[in-house]
Amino acid sequence: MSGISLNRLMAERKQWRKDHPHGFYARPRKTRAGELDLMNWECGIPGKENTPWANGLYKCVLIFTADYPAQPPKCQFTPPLFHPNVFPSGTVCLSILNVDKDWKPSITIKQILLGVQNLLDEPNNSDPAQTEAYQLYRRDVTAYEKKVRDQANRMTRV
Amino acid sequence: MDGDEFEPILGSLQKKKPWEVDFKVYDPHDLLVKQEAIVDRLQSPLALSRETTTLLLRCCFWKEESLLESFLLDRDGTLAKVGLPEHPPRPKFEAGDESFMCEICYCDGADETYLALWCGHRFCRDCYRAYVSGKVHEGESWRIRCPAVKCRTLLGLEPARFILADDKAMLNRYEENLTRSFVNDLPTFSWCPAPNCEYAIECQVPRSTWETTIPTVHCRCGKAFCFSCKHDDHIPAPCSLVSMWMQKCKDDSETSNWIKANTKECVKCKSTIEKNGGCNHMVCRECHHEFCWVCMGPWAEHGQSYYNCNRFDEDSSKNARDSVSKSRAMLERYLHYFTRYNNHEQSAKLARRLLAATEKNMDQIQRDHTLSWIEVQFLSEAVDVLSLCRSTLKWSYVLGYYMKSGNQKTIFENNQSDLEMATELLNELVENPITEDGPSIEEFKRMVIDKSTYVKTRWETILADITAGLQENRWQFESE
Repeated sequence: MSGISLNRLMAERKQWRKDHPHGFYARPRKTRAGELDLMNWECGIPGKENTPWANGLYKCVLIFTADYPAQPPKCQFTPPLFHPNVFPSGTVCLSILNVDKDWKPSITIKQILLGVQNLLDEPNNSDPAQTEAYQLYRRDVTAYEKKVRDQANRMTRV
Repeated sequence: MDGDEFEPILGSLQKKKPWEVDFKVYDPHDLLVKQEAIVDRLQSPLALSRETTTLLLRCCFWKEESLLESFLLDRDGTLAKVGLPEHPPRPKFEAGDESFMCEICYCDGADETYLALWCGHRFCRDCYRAYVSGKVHEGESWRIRCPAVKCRTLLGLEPARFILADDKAMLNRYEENLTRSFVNDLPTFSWCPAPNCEYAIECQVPRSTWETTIPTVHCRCGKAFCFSCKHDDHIPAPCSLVSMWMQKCKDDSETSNWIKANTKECVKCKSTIEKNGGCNHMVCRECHHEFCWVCMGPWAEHGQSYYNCNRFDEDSSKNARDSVSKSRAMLERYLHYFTRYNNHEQSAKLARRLLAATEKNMDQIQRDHTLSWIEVQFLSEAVDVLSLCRSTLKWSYVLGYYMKSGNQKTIFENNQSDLEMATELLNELVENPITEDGPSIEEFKRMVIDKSTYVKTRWETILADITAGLQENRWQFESE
């Protein structure tokens, strides 16, 4: 499938420019020479309204390999996020991003980003990836939500 | 195949010994036949297509009865739960149209060829091939699903074979994965753990009796192993003791016992000190603390009694000494059992080498004495008995290590020593080649056969007794 990764990413880019969910952005990085690097995308995911995540715009990168779309991309928040399912490195732990779980080659970038947006306010307790957020979420939801709100205010769109 | 047919017949003629369990060896072809037979059995009562029956069976891990039951109770529900149609359509590639677009590679239009499962999701031929090949490469088989987002439809066996039809190697791999999954999904089946062995073993002995009747099975490749823990044949020691023992040997936990038995800690800085000579006046190399090796008290209190510690009977000194001697006794006990365990393991290795030598020997005898091949088999049979006994003796020391002392243990140890002595005698006899001034070939043959028979009897006696003991809960084991 290696041959098709670039074609597919080109098509993804076209699709995204034609239509993408409100408040999101996703674009391939530019190399120093000014060329598009289709294997690395810079994305922004807005927190949903009426949740502690609202007002925040969370930046992440999607890193693709030559095996895409047989293999899912890696989604990594930069900077790392305070969230039970985000590893300290910033990498997101989500079933649709795992080839042994729910990844399908037909999942689009739009679906990935919407999936990650959903995960923000609906953490998966059975798959903790960092202790800090996981413990606080389990022990004291009010304190957890306060911390999430503070984070949202620090990461507003500029 | 013909040879296999005889196995159960022979097995039923010879009365099964109490420590033996029933099992069946399958080669890859037998496994296919076995799977087909189960599908055959269920296809007509379920009244479904072969494809759907097979998938249903695989989804419920081949539990025929529970599948039949849930199917009769709720036909549609059972099908829906695993997401299967009654009669899936035959897979075929179709020409695209204006509305077609492959959601994997984004190719579109009438020039493309696509395939859709009964769920209707269309993907182009190249993407389907790449997708299925990738999954098969990762070891997947029937669990492959439609590539559409969130779609749970199983690809199915026929479509997979159809898609991979042009790639013979990948198709073979897919079939292998199917068989692999069959053996892995059934708790009554297990692969032979020998490297590169492609046989599987079926053993119906219930899990609950594995601790009392050790399920030793013999693969056609020659490997004997425990069906429960997959370890090499470890009869007569139950799995739990074997795993404790292996852990103990691996941990090298006896190093710390040795340290305990042979060293003391400096009272002040806790450095470990081994006394390898000299008088009781110790000066720690680390902190230069001076103390008495015997009573561990400070040397300053000893006055002039350099070679005789008169503080020996103080309570604190007594306690320290007790703990040292206890640990020494434990170490010696372990070493007693380990030496014998290890000795039999080494001898078993030698016995395997002996087998090669024996074959040469048999050749020699055959030529020198114009005997037929069948007439010299007694030698290799003797070596077989020898290997068997070595293995049993080896593991009997693990059993003995954990067995509580008492009357029962004395009986066990008597049986053990009888077998051990008989085994050593037979070993000696078989190892010595026939010489000119030794007994005649007929005499030698008679001696070997007599000895082998006797050893075999001793072996059966000890195994029968241990097995009975396990089943009657007669043995008392203690873990450390």
